Amino acid sequence: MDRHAPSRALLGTQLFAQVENTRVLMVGAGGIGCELLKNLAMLGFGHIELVDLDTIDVTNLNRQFLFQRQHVSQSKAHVARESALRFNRNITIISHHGNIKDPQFDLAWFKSFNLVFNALDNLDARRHVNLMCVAGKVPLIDAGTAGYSGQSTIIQPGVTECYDCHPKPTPKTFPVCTIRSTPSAPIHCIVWAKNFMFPQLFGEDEDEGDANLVNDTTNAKQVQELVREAQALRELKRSAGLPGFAERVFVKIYRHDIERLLSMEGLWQMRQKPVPLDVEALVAAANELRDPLADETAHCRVRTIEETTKVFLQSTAALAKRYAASGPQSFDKDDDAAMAFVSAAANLRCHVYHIALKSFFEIKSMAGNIVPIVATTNGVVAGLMVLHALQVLEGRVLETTTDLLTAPPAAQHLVSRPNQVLARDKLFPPVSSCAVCARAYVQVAVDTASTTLGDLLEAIVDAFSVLPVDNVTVLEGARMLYDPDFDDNLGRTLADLNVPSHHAFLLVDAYDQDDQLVQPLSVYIQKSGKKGVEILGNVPQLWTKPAPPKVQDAPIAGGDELDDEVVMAVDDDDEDIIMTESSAAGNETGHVGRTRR
Amino acid sequence: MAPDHKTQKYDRQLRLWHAHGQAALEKAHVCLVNGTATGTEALKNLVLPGVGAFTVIDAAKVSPDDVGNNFFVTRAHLGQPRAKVVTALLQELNDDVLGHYIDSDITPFVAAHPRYFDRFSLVLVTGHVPAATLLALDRVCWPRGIPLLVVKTCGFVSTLRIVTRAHHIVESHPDTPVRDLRLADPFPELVAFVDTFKPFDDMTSAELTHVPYPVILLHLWREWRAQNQDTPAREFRKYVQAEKDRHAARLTEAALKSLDANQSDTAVASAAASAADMENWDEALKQAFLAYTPTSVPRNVKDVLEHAILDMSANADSADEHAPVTNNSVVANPVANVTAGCAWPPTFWALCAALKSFVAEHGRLPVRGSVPDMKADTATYVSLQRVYRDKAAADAADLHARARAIAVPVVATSTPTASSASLSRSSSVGPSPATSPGMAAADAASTTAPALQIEAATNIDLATVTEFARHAATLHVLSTPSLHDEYARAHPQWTRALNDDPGMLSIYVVLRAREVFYARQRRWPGAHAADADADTARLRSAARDVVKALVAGGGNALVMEAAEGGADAHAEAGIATPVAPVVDVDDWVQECVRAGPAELAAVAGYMGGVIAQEAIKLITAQYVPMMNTYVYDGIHSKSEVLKA
Ligand SMILES: [Zn+2]
Repeated sequence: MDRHAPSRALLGTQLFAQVENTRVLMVGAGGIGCELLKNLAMLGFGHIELVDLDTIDVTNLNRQFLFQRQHVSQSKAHVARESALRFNRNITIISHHGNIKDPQFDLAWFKSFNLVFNALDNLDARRHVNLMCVAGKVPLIDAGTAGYSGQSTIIQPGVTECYDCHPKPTPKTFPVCTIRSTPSAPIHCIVWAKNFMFPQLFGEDEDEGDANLVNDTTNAKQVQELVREAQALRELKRSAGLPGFAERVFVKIYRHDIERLLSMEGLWQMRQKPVPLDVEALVAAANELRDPLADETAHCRVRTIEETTKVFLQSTAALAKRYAASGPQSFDKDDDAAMAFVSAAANLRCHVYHIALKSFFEIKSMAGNIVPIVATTNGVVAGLMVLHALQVLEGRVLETTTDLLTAPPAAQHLVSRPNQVLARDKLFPPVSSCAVCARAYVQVAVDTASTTLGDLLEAIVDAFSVLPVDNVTVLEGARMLYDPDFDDNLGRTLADLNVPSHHAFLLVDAYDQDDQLVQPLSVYIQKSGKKGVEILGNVPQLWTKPAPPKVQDAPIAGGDELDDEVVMAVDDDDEDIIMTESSAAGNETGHVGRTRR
Repeated sequence: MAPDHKTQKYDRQLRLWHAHGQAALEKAHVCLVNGTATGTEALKNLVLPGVGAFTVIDAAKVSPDDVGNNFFVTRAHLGQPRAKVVTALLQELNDDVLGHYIDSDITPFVAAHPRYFDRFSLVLVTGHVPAATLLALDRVCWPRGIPLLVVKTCGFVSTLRIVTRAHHIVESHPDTPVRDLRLADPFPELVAFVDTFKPFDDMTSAELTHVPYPVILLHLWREWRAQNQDTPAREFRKYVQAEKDRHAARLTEAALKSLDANQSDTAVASAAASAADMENWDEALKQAFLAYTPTSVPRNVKDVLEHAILDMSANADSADEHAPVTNNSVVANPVANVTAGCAWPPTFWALCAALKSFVAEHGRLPVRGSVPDMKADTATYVSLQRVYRDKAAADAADLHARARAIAVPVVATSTPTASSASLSRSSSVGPSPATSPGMAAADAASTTAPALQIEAATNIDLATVTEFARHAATLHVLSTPSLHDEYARAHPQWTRALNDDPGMLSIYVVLRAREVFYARQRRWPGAHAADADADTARLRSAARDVVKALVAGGGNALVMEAAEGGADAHAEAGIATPVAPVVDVDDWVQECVRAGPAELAAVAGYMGGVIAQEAIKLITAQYVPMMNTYVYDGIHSKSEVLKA
């Protein structure tokens, strides 16, 4: 029996043969991933590899249908593979339980795929996969969902915008004094509990935990007070795990600290004064109560102050014990004790500051930045991803790129507004200033134990004879490795410099006499046992002529010898391509247009 | 320590529709007609979030095609009843869900057991179902108020039609939060609160920079209006700006004066800066229009208050006269069906009647009672919140009293004709379909069906009324024509599109044409490759007839089993051959014949998500579903919503 008869009939023999022979990688086996794997398996994709570092959690079961209760805490990747194979044994599925940023998933590995699917929920991993795909010129289908909304986009490297072409919004920040001294909304108290109190009490010692806080230097005195407060807390922390610790913390943060703040009259001229807790009475009352968390139905209502005190004391003691036993803890919204602590600590603080209390459920949502997710949206998006994949296989993305700005768009946004299920956005060419798209990528094989940074630079300069070496800088992430005024590292081996590290690429930037950036180059270091430096693949011939005005905006341009290893070029093209200024292309949206001559 | 297993398992979705939405979902019983790939996908997406129960009605045996396009069935299931296999596999996904199946074909089943459908909150039809059967299902679901979702799929294209008679939504979750401050028509308590503030000129810097902006606006508006009766209201903003500048200058000057000459430059600068920090005045500027923009009753709420159902309850006696006598013995508890699976009690319409009376007397909706975040000192902000909260509570109490006083009689009324007549008020529908053939049959059917009923709210509690009042501005009621109506009547709204650029309407036409093909051939097009050319010609001709019917009506006759030959059907139905546009549907005709009965997993996955999404919106009565025909083209990744 031909299991794939329906696919073959609908796709046609030619496209179906492509589907069967395509090697696809999917990153993420969560909500979208489960749906996607099902679709890929049903359509008959012949070779699928999937990577996920997560294990299955009970909160996944409302949508990740390849998993069941008995699978909780097992590897998502492995269980997803087994479940899918139960339904289709005619295909190859390889699962990897690991982080997509692990060194084993190197550029060569990425390049071994014809198509990559991003089914990830975190920004960092999504950006990494995007970078690897752009560097390796592998088409990527990127998707995400939130509530009833979702989206799937085709990223054809060098042809359409990449995931990084538009900066992603950064998390909201709050002034430090609002969090530490003068909260006025529940979120302030939650941030205080989660980002300040939790790491102070149970985290690394030197960890200030103020990542979300913006230091407001105009209030020097207040800041001084806060530093003292933190020091006192560190003193207290030494007794973590000993009896009475939770009570001492309770007294300190809800009475002593508040009283000290009250002594700063200036703070309260226009604000309602906080009222310190009646700590003895509350501790006594709490001791009379049975475990409030035993009542599971109460998570959706606001608990009383006595109950909250009890939860605070219990969870603080539990976390302190854990800290004493196994060292620093970090906050995780799915860690019951951590969440209980944050909700209780935040609510007690709200009470002190006359702010409305929140239920455990609401606080979890705010503290965990939890986005609502439902099975339905995942199903829709995963369906779109596969239909987008078919467009890529048929070459229908490239078809549209000669006239990208007016061609039928393919990026999709799914929204929940009435009468609007599927809205579409145009696919634009890469943004010229994009830190990912604007670079040329080369792969270099080196023996890192014997090769020095100087050797490497020399080899690169040799290969790209046009590169003005005295005007080159080398960075790895934010770490400066070399510039003309800092040559200390030239004699050190790459292994000694810890290169490659978790950053996949060395950023080699060349400047001309006028200090204009001429060529941003990303060098991927492939470890090799062979001595010397070998530049893999074709060597891109880089721009050498005097730069046109505003060269940063148009960092890559092709001369007559433009090689197809330069990422912006298209593979099949002997026509010349130039990247033009957006205004020259008549495009008001600030994107770069492509013209042929 | 852990929350109960349901809260945990459903954690991520509860954040979308909350505990009461989940409760509605868990009470719902969904019927799936045919365990196709698309149907199974949709049901999977309802089983995972925890729908209460489902029933699959399907007589098919698992075929190789099912194994090829339905993820859940394997080779081992070949030849077994599809309803049974699909039910067992879906049941495995969630222990909290009850699965049932009926191993029968829908056509005889619905004819023999119309009352069986009373238990369902929603009926979903997928697969290749003859239109005559769809219309039979419509005749069962429509009078009972059960939403009917009809999905037609052919290769890469698919349509979803939602049929619902009066779906009401209390929590529509609008994209932008509702602001309800009543500044243009302040209530006495708000005015009294504003009067407690001393004149702005007497305020210190600290005071003036902490007056909440609603107070600023009300004060300034009174001053300005007294002086400028004939000036257009939008000029008011200039006055706010001028006053802001004037006070800023005054405060800076005062601040500088208070510093002695030896103060450092920084101190001077900081005094000036703090005086100039008039964030609350900036907010006032931004919101200045609120001072003269009265809070009206929004269109969606007017549609609810003007809905025919309320007229019927208001004139219960006369309604009885023109409504056909119903046979109440048919259904034991019809009220439960009207609001089947709905998160709101069957008292919804009684609450609307109360709201109608409230609006008639006060000329406004109840105050919502929430105050947005704004620059203000805590004490003042809390007082302002209290003013709005108290007013909201008073309004809710008023509404509560009205609701309890409205002793709504159990109204027995409304046939499809009556209801579709009422529809024309809120949406544009064509001429009355009463003259169309086939209507008589529908009427006959509905007289034996239960009536749409309203339950009195005599015992309703204040908390429910308060919640209702809070959402008064975002109420929605959505009514679509019945399926019968859609097939029977003409669609003048589409005539122009058919002539000019049919766009995705051509997909709709071809999927309807398949049904005409079936009525004539007793099989679906594309079933055998050898017949492809003949099928293409027949389907093309059927499409021409469907276009004619869209222009002139009578499409229902085309799909009746007796119908033979397009033109003949029109002649038999006594319809003059209309001047129908020639629509090029060849691409889709060929696609349909080429695809035959096959389903594509990715399209099934996509549509399964869309269908379940809309089903959940209907079941939880939250968010606004699309109305009413969704058309998807998976080749070009395009979609459109058509109003039938
Ligand atoms: Zn980019």
